[in-house]
Amino acid sequence: MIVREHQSMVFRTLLRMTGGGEQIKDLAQEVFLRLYRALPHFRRDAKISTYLYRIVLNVARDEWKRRQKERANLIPMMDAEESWEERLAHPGRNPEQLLLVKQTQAVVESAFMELSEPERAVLVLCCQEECTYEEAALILNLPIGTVRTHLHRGRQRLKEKVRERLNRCVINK
Amino acid sequence: MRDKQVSCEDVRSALRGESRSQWTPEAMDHLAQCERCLEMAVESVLQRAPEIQVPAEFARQTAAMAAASNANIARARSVPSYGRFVAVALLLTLSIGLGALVAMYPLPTTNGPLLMAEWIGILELGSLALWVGRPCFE
Repeated sequence: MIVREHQSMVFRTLLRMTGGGEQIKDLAQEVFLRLYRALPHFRRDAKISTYLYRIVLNVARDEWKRRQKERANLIPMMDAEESWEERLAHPGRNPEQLLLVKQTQAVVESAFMELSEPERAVLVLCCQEECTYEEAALILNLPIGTVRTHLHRGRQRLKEKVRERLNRCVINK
Repeated sequence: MRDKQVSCEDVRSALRGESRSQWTPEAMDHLAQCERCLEMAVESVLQRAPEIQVPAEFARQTAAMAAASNANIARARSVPSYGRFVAVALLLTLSIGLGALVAMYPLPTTNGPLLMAEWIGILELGSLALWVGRPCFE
């Protein structure tokens, strides 16, 4: 019952926080298993969604660290900058993928992954999940002022990174 | 805005999904230069939840995994820990034995504080036995 009710939220938050990958299903299962183990200690005065968001962000953080470690261990086969540019338009793509809206989304999403973990978490909670500042502060266990700062700084940094990418794209064209 | 070919309205309607504008160098340049359009592009992506596909059997599989994990935990708990039993038995024997000795054979020279110290020591051994054996009694 809990799984059915919250599975979409868990999948989309994990997807945004980790940038996707094949392990999303495993990560989502890990989230619900952690919730299941923690249920006996669950305080009834708290909302289960708040609890679940916390678990999702923790699982995403663990996965992020694991990937960073994996990446550090691998010999870089290609320039990191190329990986996102690869995703952008090139003549081989179909017209649907070359739409402005799709490509903008790809640029913003790749830039988003370069933000710090708290900035990503706050942006996901406040923009995508439409949490209030109070809810985000409760989930992240941060003061409301810090949530606001992360949100503002995250937006600014995201715009800068997107602009950088767009400029580089224009120069390359 | 430097660009004459792509207007703010072109970009914004494309971002709203109302037109099918293409990803051209002009559009990219416009987005990079126009603060409002860039802001709208960023916000529209942030607010749009990513497209997800939850596997059909996800809830059922997760429930099965949770049940299996629960069974594993219960099994791990049910495995007797012989070391703990031995430790508890030794501590209890020691505290009861010492208590009996003190009770049956009080030394004539034993004064109040020394006797008290002995009983405190015996009580400590007994408490330790209870604390170590706590999981066995649950």
